[in-house]
This record gives sequence, C-alpha cells and structure tokens, in this order.
Amino acid sequence: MAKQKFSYDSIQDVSSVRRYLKSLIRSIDEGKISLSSEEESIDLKPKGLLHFSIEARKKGSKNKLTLELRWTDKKELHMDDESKPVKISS
Amino acid sequence: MELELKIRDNLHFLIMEVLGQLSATSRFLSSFDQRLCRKVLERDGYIDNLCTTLENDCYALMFTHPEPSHQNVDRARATHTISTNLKQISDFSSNIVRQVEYLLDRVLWLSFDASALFHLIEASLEQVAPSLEKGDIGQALAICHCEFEVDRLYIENFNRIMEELRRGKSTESYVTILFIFRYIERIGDSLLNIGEAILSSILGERIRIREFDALQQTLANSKIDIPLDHLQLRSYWGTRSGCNISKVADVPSDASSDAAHEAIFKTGSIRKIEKEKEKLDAWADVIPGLAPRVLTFYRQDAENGALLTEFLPGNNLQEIVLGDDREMVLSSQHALHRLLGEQLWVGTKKAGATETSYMAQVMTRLESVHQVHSYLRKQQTLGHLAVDSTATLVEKCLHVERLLPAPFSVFIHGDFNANNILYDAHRDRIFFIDVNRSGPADYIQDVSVFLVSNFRLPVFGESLRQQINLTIAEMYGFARNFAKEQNDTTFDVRLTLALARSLYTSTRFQLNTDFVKEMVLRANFLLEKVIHFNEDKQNWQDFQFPEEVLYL
Repeated sequence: MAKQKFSYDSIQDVSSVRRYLKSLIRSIDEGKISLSSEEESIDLKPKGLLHFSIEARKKGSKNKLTLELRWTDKKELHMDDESKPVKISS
Repeated sequence: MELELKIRDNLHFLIMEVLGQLSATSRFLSSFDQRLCRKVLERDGYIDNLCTTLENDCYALMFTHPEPSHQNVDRARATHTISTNLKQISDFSSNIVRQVEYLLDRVLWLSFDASALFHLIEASLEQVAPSLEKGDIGQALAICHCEFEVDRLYIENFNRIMEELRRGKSTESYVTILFIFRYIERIGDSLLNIGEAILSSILGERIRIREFDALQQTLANSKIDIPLDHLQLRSYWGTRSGCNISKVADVPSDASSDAAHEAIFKTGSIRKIEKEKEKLDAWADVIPGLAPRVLTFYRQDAENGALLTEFLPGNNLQEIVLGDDREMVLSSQHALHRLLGEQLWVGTKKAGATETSYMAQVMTRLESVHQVHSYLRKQQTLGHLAVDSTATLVEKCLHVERLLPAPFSVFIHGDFNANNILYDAHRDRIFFIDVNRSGPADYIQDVSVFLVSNFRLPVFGESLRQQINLTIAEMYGFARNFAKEQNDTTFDVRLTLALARSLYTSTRFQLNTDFVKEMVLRANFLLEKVIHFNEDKQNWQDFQFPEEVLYL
C-alpha cells in the first residue's frame, strides 16, 4: 500500500508554538486532522483506542520532547441490524 | 635538481625542434621543395613525444617532488603552458604545409609575403628560453607584443584576399591562401600564451597581457615607482564581483632597502571600475582615510578599466573573530563602534523618512536561493491553521515594510560583511574595503549584514562559536543603544526584516545543508512574528526583536 507522508518543520518561540498545539487539539476534538501542502496531503482520523506516549530527553544543553499518537484505522463493520424488521414487498 | 635540469633541457630541445619546423615551413612555402614538407610532417611525432615527456615531468615536479620551491612550481607551470603551446605551433605548421596541395596557383601565392611573419615568430621564439631563465620581464613582454604585430600583418593580408575574392577570380587559391594566413595568425595567439606564461612565472601570479599593460600604465600614472624587476604580484581575493584583484608589491632584491610599496590593483569592466572609483572618492569626502585612496584610475578602452588603490594594513574582522585573540576581538569591535557611533553615523545622519527594500531584495533573490536549496517553505495547512509559504511570508512583510520607513539615513557601507572591515591593531583603527554598494540608507542594513556575516560562519566548536556569539552580541547591543539615543522607535521591526533578508540571501553561499535549513527556519520565524504582530493590529513601537535568533 502506498505510504502517505507529511512533514512540517519550523522554529517557534513559546508563545507562537501554542497556536500550533491549539490547532491540533481542536482537530483531535473534531475527529479529523487534515495536513496538506502543495504536493502532499493526508487526512488522519484519530478514533477509538490511541497509543499515546511522551518521551523526554536532555543531553547537556539540548532538550527534546516527543509526543506520539499512534492508532490503527478499523474497518467499518457492516453487521446486519437485527432490530430492523425485514421488509418484503410484492 | 635533476628533474629541473631535465625539464630545462627538454624545453630547449622542444623550442629548437619547433624553430626548425617553422623554418622548414617558411622555406617550403617559397620553394615548394617536397623534402621540406616531409621534414615538417615527420617531426610532428617527435615533438609530440617531447611535449608529453615535459608535461609528465612538470606535473611530477609540481605534485610529487618532496619540497618544490614556489619559484620552481611557478616555472614548472609556465613550462607546461609553453610546451603545450609549442605543440600547437607545430600542429599549425603541419596544417600549413598540408594546405599547399590545394594551392592551384602557386605564382599567386608568391605575390604574398609570409616570410616577414615567419621571421617575426621565429625571432620571438628564440627569446623564450632566455626570458624564462633570466626572469626578464622586458623579453617576456616583447614575446607578447609580437602577437599584435602578427595580427596587424594578418589583417593586411586578409583585406587584400577579401578584395580579390570579391572580384571572383582564382577563388580556390585565395581561400587556401586565407587558410594559410589564418594558421599563421593562430601561431601568434600561441606565442601570446607563451609570453603570458613567462610573465606569470616571473611575477608569481597569473596575468594576461591586457592586464599587465593596464598595470604598467596605472603604475606609470601613479606616484608609486616600482621598477619592473622588483614587481611582485599576488592574487588578493582572486576575483570578486567580476573584477580581478591583485596585490602589487615592490620587492627590492636587496632586503635591507626600504619597506616594500604595496597597492591593490583591480581590472575589470569599465562600468564596475568607474563605479568603484566613484564610491572610493565619495568615502574620501565622508571620512578621509577610512576606505582606500585611489592612486590611479586608468581607462584601457571602451570596455575595460583598471584601478590602483592604496593597500590598507590590518586583518579583516572575520579573521579576527576566527582567531584566538579574544582581546583583539573586543578591541576591534570597540573601535568599530566608536567609528560608527561617534563619527560615521552621527556625522552623515540626515533626518527624513528613508524607505528600505529588504523584502523586495529577498523577492528578487528567492528564485536563486531556491535553485541551490529546496528548504524554502511551501504553502501548508495544519488542521485549521494555514501556514504561509516563504514567498507569501515575504510578500505580506513587503506591505508591512512600506509602512515603516527608517526615520533617517546615514552613509552606509552597503556590503558590511565582517571580511570587508579591516582592523589595524597597532593603530587601533578601522578601515573599509569593497565599498561598491555604499550610499545613504538605513543603518540597520549594515547592522544586519554584519550580524549575519558572523552568524553564518560554518564554525560549530564551542569556544569559537562563543567568540562569534560575543561579536554578535556586542554589535547588537551597540546598535540597540544607538537606536535608543536616536529615538528610532521602529528599530526592532526593521532589524527583524533586515535580518530575515540577510539570512535568506546568505544561504546561496552555503553548502552545509543542515545549517542552511536552520537559517531559512530562523528567517521564516522572524517574518511570521512580524505578520502575527501585524494581524493583531498592535503598535509597532511595542514589537520586540527576538534576540535569540542571533545565536547558535
């Protein structure tokens, strides 16, 4: 299956990075994160169980905080809805 | 030593062979004696071999010899060029004798005089070995100038042939005669290359005869009196902005004589040379002695010019910041601040809105930045957040910039890279060089170029980087204070725009891709900051320049 990728890289300061984090939280709330640029685009729908991990590192004066969300899209299950009566018409 | 002797002897042999071939060619053209024709063609293989041997030996001397002296390397390089051109002369001779079979009307040929050309060429070739060995500039120049005479005689014959061709008689023979003269003319070109190679080996720097003539004229017009046999030429920054720059020095053979005279000699298009002169003259009015004095200006012809300027002492600030003398880093900075803050900026300050064009300059260069690196950002969306492409960032900031002219202008350097500023530690004095882009403008332009010229130094070791950061902090602090004293309330935002411009445009000269990416990201960050501030409709006097971007 073709891999879709998107990347974004920037320098922010503490106040400007909030805009990005807020936007992500809002997208998670809405159930859909759309990421796109001129040649790549990807839609993610975080739903159900999510792996959420935080990794922090400090080496000398260099710091790194990695937030990770991972999940697997489930196939929609089409179960027969038993509560619905079968209609037979002639 | 053995190898040098072998090279010298083989060059002698090669010259003798080529002289023999030229003489046989000349005699064949008047006698049509086929033995002479065979002699010319048969010698070709031997000359080829001799030339290859010389080439190998010259390379061996330059690259595998344990400790070749500077002079020997210069001579080996010249010998290599000379032998290659002698080989060409030999090829041209062979081509000439081969033309004779197409010469249907030989009587017609005899009405032309090629022997004068051959005499001229042979006499010059005889000077090659002695001028190279004795380092005789006069003889080398005579060899070069022989080409002018060959050209003159060629043109005379060419015009006559053209006239005859227009009459339409004996067309085949005239075309063949034209070919023969054309080969002789090309022998002249090879001679010029040989003369220039000898000249370069004597002066210690590659020089072309046009430049040398200009140098002689300029020196003659100046008060600097350097006898030709004392002249030493060293490439000074190589080529810069299309001009060829050398340092000219008078190196007396007697070491006990007076200190050497030194000057900077530039040749290039008359437009650039004239502009440089105009700027140097302007600086002489602003602060005499700060930029080099013009010693002589020389217009070679409609397109070329030369300039001899004062050679200024000291080290450039880039050398100093990368050196290990912290005291000198600080003293040079302080001397620079005194100059700018107490003399130059206050002395040339002119109140009145001064438009800047930082973003416009980025716009015109984005394409060339993009050709080198692909880090410029494209338009992106992250959820509900739209992220501007670099081009959009610049465009939005262009509108902001138009609202924020500088409150005054000063006379700026215009290309205030650390390596265009010299510091003479003995006299605690600053000098400016490379002032082609000087003029009245926003002082922040010079500040930002200086800051980024330090920031972009690809040096990442801790102690040197600290020294670079110190230099940056010193200049930033100084400029900030100056702005405060002058009540320049939009200093922060203008510096942000100017710095972004210098960061973007600097990436064209960098190959370290991680570092380039870092500079582009910092520039994007700066412009985003300006745009968000503008969207929030805040007062520009409250905008704060994010000083952290200046330091690695």
